[in-house]
Amino acid sequence: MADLEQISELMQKGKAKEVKELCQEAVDGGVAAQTILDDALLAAMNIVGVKFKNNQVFVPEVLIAARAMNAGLEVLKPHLEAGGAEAKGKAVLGTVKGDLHDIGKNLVKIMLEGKGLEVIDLGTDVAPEKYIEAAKENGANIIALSALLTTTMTQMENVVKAAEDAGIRDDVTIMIGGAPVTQSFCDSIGADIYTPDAATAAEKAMEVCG
Amino acid sequence: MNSTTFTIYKGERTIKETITPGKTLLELIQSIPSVEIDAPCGGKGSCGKCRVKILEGTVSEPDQEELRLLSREELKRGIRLACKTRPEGSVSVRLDAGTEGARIKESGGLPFKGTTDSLLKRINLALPVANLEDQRSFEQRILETLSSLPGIPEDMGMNHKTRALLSSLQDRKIYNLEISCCGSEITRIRTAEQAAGLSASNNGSGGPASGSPVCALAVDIGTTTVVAYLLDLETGERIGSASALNSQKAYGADVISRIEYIGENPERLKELQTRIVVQIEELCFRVLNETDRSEEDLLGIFAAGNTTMMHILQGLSPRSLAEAPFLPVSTVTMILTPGEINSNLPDWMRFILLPSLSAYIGADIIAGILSTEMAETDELCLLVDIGTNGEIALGNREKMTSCSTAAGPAFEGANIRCGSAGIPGAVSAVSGKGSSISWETIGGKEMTGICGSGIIDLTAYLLKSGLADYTGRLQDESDWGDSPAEGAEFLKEVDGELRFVWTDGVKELYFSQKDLREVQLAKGSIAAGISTLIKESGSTMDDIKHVYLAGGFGSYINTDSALAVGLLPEELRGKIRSVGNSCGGGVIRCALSREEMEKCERIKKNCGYVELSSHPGFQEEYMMSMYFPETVT
Repeated sequence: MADLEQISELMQKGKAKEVKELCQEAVDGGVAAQTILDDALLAAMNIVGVKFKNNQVFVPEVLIAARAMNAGLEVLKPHLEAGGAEAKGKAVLGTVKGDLHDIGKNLVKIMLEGKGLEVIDLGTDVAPEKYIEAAKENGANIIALSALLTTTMTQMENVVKAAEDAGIRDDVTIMIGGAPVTQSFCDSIGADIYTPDAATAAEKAMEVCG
Repeated sequence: MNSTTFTIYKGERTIKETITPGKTLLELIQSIPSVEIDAPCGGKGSCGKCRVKILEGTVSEPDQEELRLLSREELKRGIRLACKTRPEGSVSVRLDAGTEGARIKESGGLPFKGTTDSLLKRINLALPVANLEDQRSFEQRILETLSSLPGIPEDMGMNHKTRALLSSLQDRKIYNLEISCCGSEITRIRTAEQAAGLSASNNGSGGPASGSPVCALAVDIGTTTVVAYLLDLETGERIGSASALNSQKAYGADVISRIEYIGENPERLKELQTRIVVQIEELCFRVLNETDRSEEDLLGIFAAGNTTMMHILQGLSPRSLAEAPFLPVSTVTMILTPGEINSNLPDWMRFILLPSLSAYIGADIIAGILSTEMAETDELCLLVDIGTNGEIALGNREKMTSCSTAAGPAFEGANIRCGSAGIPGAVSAVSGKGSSISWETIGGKEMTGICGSGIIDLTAYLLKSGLADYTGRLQDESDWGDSPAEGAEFLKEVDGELRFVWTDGVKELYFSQKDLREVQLAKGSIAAGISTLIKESGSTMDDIKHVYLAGGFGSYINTDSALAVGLLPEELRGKIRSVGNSCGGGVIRCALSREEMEKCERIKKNCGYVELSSHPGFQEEYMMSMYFPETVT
C-alpha cells in the first residue's frame, strides 16, 4: 500500500520518477485516483505554493515539483476520466500582447492546476481578442493576465475593454499580475483582482470558483 | 494671492516653484530640470526609493503602496514617496543631498595602438589667388584645393549653414583659411586671422595658447552613468574626463520605465532628449574648463549607448523597442548637427553617433566588441556586459553572435531594499566568512546602501558561510538544529522575513530573503544567456580563450564572487578579465581613428543576434540557472 504522504514529499522534492512509480503502485493497490490526486499531488503543490509565497522555495523548485506532479498525473489521468472528475473551474491564461515573458505566467499555471483548476494556456504575446475567444469557447470563469514590462502592462486595460465589448465582462473575473503591476493599477483599469505572486493568485482563483 | 508654492530643500539649495494642481511630487520635481531625484521604477510606486521628507504643508493620505513600502515610523517622520504624494496646498519638502560624484568609469578595453587619424580634422588652407583666368566660386575653390591634399576625401561638401559663412570672404582678399571637417563635410570655415584672433584674445584672458590642438569628446551614455572623455586629436591622448549619473534617472532606473514615460507623447520624448543633451553639454564644459581648453578647439562629440539611449538622444521614439517584436526606428551611424538634436552647442560641432545592432544590442556593445578587439583575433572571445540588461557577445574574426538578457535592475541596486547605485557610501565589496565579515564602501564614506559588486560579494559570503543554501534559501533552525552556522547571529526575522542585518555602528543595512531571490533572477538570466549563446554557436566552454567582463557593474565585480554565485560558469575560471568601461574605450577609438569607425560597420554587419525570449531552450536554462552552485568554497 503506497503512502500518500510519501508521494507528497517526493513530489515536493521534484522526484518525478519516484512519484510516477508510487502513483502507479497506489492505483494498482486500489486507491482511488481522485484520492491520490487530492491528498498527495494537489496537497503537495499546495505546500510548495505556500513555501513559494513565503520565499522559502524559488522558481526552480516549483518547476521541478510541477514536473513531478505531471509525471504522477499521467498515471492518474485515465482513471480520473473514468471516474468523471470535473475541474473546479476554468481559467484562460496568457502573457499580454508585446510581452514574451513566460516564467511568471507558467508559475501561475502550475499553481492554478495545483488547485485543481483547468487552465487554458494561450502562451505569450496574446492579443486581447484571443483571450475573449478562448474564454467564450471554454466558458471560463477567469481570465488571468501577466505582464512583466511597464510598457506592455497597459495592454491589460485593452483586455478588460474587449471583455466589455464582447458582453462577457460580468461572466468572467479578470485577474492580473506581474512585476510592475500594482493594486492601484488594477483599480485604475477596472480589472477585478491583483495578486503579487502565483500562489496568492491560485488562492484568489479558488475563491472565485468556489 | 492663492497660488500654491512648492519649496524643495536639497543639500544647500532651496528651489521654489508654483504648483500645477493634480500632479504628484515626483511629476513636479521632474519638471524642474536642475533637480535630481532617484525614481528607479519610474513612479509606479513599486520600488520605494523616491523618498522625500514633507517639512510643511498638507499632502494626500498615504495609499496602499506607501503603507507597504514605508514603515509606520517613517511615515510619522514625514517620509513619503514622491510618486504617490500629491500636495494639497503649498508644501515644502527635503530631498537627499544628491548623488553627485558618481564613480568615474575609467575608459576600458584594450589600449589603442593604432595611428590617430580622426574623422574630425582642422586644416590650414592656402587658396590659389583668384583672377580673370580663375573665376571659380569660393566654394569650388575651397573644395578643390582641399581635395588635392593628401588624406582628404574627394567628395568634400558643406551644408547650407556653413556655406553661408563664405559670404564673409567676399569683403576681403582672403586666401588663408582654417577649415574644420567631419569626414567629407566642412563644418567651419574661418579666416586664419579669425582663428588666430580668437586664440589671441583667449591668451589675453589666460585661455589656451594659440594654435592649441583640436580635440573631441567621447561620451558613453549609460542608462545609469554618463561619462565623457576629452581627447587630443593630435596626440591621441586622453586629456580629461567627467561623469555624472544619467539625469534621466528621475524617469526610472531602466530603459523600459523611460520608454513607458515617453509613450506616444513627442513632448515627453523631447523632455528626456533635453535631459541627456543638457547633461552632455554640461559634462563637455566641465571637462573643457578643468583641462583649460577652449570650445573653439572642440570639433565634435562621439557617443554610444544602448539602443534606447541612442534613440532618445537622436529624438527618435523608442516605443517599439519595448514591445515584441522589438523594432528600432534606426540603427545606422549618424552624424548630426547640434541643432538636429536640440543641442545649443556651436554649429561647427558634430555629434557622431555609433551604430547599433538591434533593439537590445546597442552601440555600446558594438563599441565594446571594438575595444576588446575580439573581432580581430582568431581566438574565441566572450564579452559580457552586465548592467540592467546583460548583453553577451561571442565570437572572433570569423563569426560573431550576440544576445541580450533582462537581468533586471538588481545589480544596479534598484530592486534590492538597501540597494544603491555605485555612489560614495555604497558598500562595494564584502569579504570574510561566518562571524568575521568585513566590507568597504566607495570613497570610504559612511555606508548608505549596497551596490552591485557588494551584492554579489555578500551573496558569495552567505553561500560560503552556509547561511544560504544552493536553492537560495536563507537558513534557519530547521536546517541547522542546535548548532547554527557561524554568522547566524546576523540573521534576524523581521516582519516574517529572514534578513541578514549588519551595521557599522551608525547605520544598519539588511539583505533580505527577497533580495536574495532578486539576485537569483538576475544572475540566472546572465548565466543562462551565456550558456545558451555558447550552445547556439556550436562551441563549448573549453573553446573560449578570453572572457571580457564589461559595464559599470562588470568592471567592479569580484571575479571569484561572480564564479562562486554562478553568475559566470566555473569552466571559465582563469580566462576572465575585467575590461572596465569597454563602451567608453570603443568610443574613444572611434574618435581617434576613422579606421575604427569603419570596423564598427563591419561588426554591425557580421554580428548575429539570438532572440532569447522566444528561444526554445532558454527558459528552461534560465530557471535552472537560478540555483547557486552546490559547493562554494
